[in-house]
Amino acid sequence: MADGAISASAIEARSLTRRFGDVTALDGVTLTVPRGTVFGFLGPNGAGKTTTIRLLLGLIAPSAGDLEVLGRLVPEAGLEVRRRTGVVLEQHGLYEGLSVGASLQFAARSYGLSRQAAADRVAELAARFGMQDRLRDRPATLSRGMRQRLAIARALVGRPELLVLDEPTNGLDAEAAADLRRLLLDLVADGTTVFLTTHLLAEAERLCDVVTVIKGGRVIATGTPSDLRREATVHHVRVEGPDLAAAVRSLSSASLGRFSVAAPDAIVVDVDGLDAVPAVVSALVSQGIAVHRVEPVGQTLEAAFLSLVGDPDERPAPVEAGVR
Amino acid sequence: MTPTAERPDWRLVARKELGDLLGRLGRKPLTRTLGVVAVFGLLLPLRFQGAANLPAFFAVFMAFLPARLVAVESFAGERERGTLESLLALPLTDRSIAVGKIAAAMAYGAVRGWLFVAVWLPAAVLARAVGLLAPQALPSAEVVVATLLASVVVAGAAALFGVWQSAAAPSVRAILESGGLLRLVLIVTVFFVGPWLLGLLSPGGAAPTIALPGGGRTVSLPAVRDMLAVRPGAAAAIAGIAVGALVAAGIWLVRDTLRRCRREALAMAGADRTGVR
Repeated sequence: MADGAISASAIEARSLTRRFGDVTALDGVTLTVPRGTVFGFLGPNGAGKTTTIRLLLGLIAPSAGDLEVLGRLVPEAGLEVRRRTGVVLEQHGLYEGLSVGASLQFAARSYGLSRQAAADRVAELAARFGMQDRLRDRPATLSRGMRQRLAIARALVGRPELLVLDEPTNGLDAEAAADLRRLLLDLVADGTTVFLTTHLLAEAERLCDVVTVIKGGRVIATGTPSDLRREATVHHVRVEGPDLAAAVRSLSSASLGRFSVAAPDAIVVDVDGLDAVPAVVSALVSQGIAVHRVEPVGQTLEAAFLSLVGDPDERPAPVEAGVR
Repeated sequence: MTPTAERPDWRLVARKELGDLLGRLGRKPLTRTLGVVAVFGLLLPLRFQGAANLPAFFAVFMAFLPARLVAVESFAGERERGTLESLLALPLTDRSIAVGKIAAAMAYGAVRGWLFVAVWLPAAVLARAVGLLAPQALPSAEVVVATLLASVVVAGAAALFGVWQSAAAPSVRAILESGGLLRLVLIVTVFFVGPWLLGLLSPGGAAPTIALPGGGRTVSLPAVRDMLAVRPGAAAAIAGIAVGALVAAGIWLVRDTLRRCRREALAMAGADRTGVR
């Protein structure tokens, strides 16, 4: 992208690769984050999420590939990108010895604000986040939710075009998480781009316009949450019948596939697609088991994610997925 | 978007470092200094009446030790407390972060040394006034000025070396557990054997004469000084080599510290082979 032109994408990664010795943490990742959207970056532990954030911030350099953030190549223009980016990492990074006001003031000055402009911005953010009375307090005296608010206020101090959030709702109660969601949607409405990693997939489903799933350093799916739900290869079907749970216990798993008991008269069966439902019913009926009702269970993003990531150990019981 | 009215520099980082440090320590620096002054500033001169300059060694030691501890904490401590990556994510240059941390450790150490002097001198004058100390137990003005300057220089060296170690270390403990014996030998040599060789531990202020093994020859600092006084060429050569070696070591240390303080090096220090810390 030529200098001065405004890129339509906030982030553009092309074949982004990062190796640590003989370990490839990111392997040819290509992704585009449109401006003014909430972009969800999902993946199991060790998938490459932290490495990606470090690359975005110019903390480390890619081994191969290109990365443009806000139209500038990273890490070459890392300082400028950081000047236009706010970050909330999983560990908030709040200084124990600095008061709330001093923490915000330091962040504001590091974004180049003059002493007076920084003081004004701190007052504005304190009012917005309900911390006017806590400016002299140390982070250790704040609740977890309040500390998270402080970390977010600090990230916003430079009026960033891009906000990078690593597990932002970790440890927040429902009300604080809802506050945060409202704040993010307000920011996006003002044109800010939000790059969000989270393991709370319901959160991603509610917030994100686009989601990318990464595993083993590779992108395995990208799309809207509803796209991913549709693309998921594992579906769940709830089958009901009299004493069905007791009856199916006598069946071998080979005849029915993976299933779990949801209630005395209901089981939930994993199927590769809805085309496989007649075979399930047929397997039950051929064993003399009565089937009264069969219905697909609503596919959540979490179920879709686990189906994409494909780790049986991390896959929740279908009954749980169906209930959500 | 971002109003860049001022370019943030190392002074901003240094102020943050000192603010965070003092916020965490509270009144400990003052009470520790008072305790050390009570022991080394007054009790030792009472014991060694002729050793007016002995507390000056401890003033410099009081600059050295805090500067080193703060510097050792500078990056490794942030790593342990989980604040380093947030700092690196701010729009500050690598150099301003490194220089700010060195400056903060140096300033803190120097002020602790000066605080020692500020408490020791009035207390010594008071002790002299009530007859507890002999007149020769008060230092000269030259010694006081030299102590204040030495505090800055020693604190600076300790800060630079400590930040150099801290930038590449996964934790403070890892630094403190490495080279422990060498560090102990150096500290004992500089701050304890040094005063003894200079005669500060002798009641009359006389430097000790050390017998060399075999031949019955002896050596002492005054004898070495006298020997060099009659051989100015040798004295100049020794001084030149010493200064040259110190300057070369200083330049190498500064350059290597700045290399270790690059973002990628800082972000990856202590990480495992998958890049995870």
